[in-house]
Amino acid sequence: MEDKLQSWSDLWMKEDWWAIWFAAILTIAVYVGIITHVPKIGKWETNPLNAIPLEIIFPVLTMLVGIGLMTTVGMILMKENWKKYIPGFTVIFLIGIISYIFAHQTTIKAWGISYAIWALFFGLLISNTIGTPDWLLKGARSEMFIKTGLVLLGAEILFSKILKLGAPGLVVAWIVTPTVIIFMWFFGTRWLKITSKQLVIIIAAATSVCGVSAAIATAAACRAKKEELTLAVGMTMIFTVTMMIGMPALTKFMGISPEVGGAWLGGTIDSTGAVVAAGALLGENAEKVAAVVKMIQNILIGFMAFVVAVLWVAKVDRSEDGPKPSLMEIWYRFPKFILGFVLASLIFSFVLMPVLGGDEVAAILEQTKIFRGWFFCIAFVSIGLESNFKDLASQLVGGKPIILYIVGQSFNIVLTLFAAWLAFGGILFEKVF
Amino acid sequence: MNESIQLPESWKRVLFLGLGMVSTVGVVIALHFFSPWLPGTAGAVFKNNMEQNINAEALLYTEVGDVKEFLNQETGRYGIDLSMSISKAAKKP
Repeated sequence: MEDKLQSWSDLWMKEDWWAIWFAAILTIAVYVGIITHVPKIGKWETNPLNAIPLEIIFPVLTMLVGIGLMTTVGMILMKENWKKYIPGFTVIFLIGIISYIFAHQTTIKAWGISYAIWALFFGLLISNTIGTPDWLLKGARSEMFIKTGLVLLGAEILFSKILKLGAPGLVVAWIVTPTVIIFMWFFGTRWLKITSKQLVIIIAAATSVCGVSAAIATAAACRAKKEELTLAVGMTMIFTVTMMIGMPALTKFMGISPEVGGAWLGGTIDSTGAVVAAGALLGENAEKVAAVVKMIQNILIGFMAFVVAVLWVAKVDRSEDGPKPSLMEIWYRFPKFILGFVLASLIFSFVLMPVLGGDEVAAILEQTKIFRGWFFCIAFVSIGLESNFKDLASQLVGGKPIILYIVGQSFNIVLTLFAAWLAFGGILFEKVF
Repeated sequence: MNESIQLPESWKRVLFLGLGMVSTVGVVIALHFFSPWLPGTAGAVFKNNMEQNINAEALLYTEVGDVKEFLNQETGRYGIDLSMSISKAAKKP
């Protein structure tokens, strides 16, 4: 039985392992200097051509070919149809470039409408109008792209840095967050009786941890449906923009101090960029506290993904009257890319940071974070191409996911305000400023 | 006699895709021109993001700015030291 459960060939036959290899190849290539500059699409205001000036066209095309070749080798070794993958991948990458161009328009950027939303949108627009042709679907390896992006993301989660940031931030970020997740889990599964537990946990992670990135990691860890991730990401983006505008106004209206207000914003607004934007409106101190609290929350992505993956394999996916799975079976079914994610984080935090120092690690991450963005971007284009509005509507199940989000976020807002007052209001700790 | 023009299904689909793209570009143009005129907090958030060049679309802290800023405690933009222990709790008069 156990022989059947795993084989050495899994290392080159399974997508999960390939996600780790792809991320490792790219990171090592950056570290040893083979890749010195990963191109990114520029900002523009009125002329979209400014986003792709002549000097970056060749690097972008080189990256397209490079990532295409690397993933094609993986496809060949996984015995997948690589000949049909190449044209699909190429067009998906080009749609990814268009998504980035839209996201980098100055006004769009200031509103926080990220490439992930544009990529999803363009994918959905194609699949729901002309329909996604079969040849294009062959290149839509959304899971492979997401998992590779997640392993690269792991490197950016630096424990050593976050641990230095201190106790007040930890109180707000690490006590409230698990409480909100547990509350939303029970509210979603027991009260609202949402049948898809994956959908509940993705919405809970997105609401309480850090929006889109937490949703992606959790969805991959519990093998959620693409439509469930799409719904969670869409909802998160809408509420993030709303809260980015509404929360600073509410903080001012309630006369809350900048430090407590900053911690409140950092603990409640989903995405990091929106947290900084909202905090900046309350002043420099509020911006700093908000960003630090959100940074400490960011680290929970890894814990969250790991715990969800174990829970799903050991408990949720198991039939109620089925036998308790052995450790070997849990290992077999455990999504291996999560190991890559956690390992990347540990290596960067506790090996590379002390050995290479902050500046060199920063230089590596400056490049790998761009790769991570491209992988997430083409993953969302792929998800959009594979989804349709009918399937998305079926996920809404009478608006229950929206109720779950609103009730969970309201609970989060109240609890975080209390924790922020305790930690940053001079009650448990000295005031920071 | 009702002789309305019937487009082939495939043409309709391409037409919808084209309309979708044109509408998207229209929304971006409208947002670009009307955002600076927005009143209230929405306008304030937008103006502040533009003036301070804040990357509001950042998914993770590494996208907010230069990663080096976060990893260097000396120059760190957000590298403030919040590391206080509970024993240093504020003494209430």
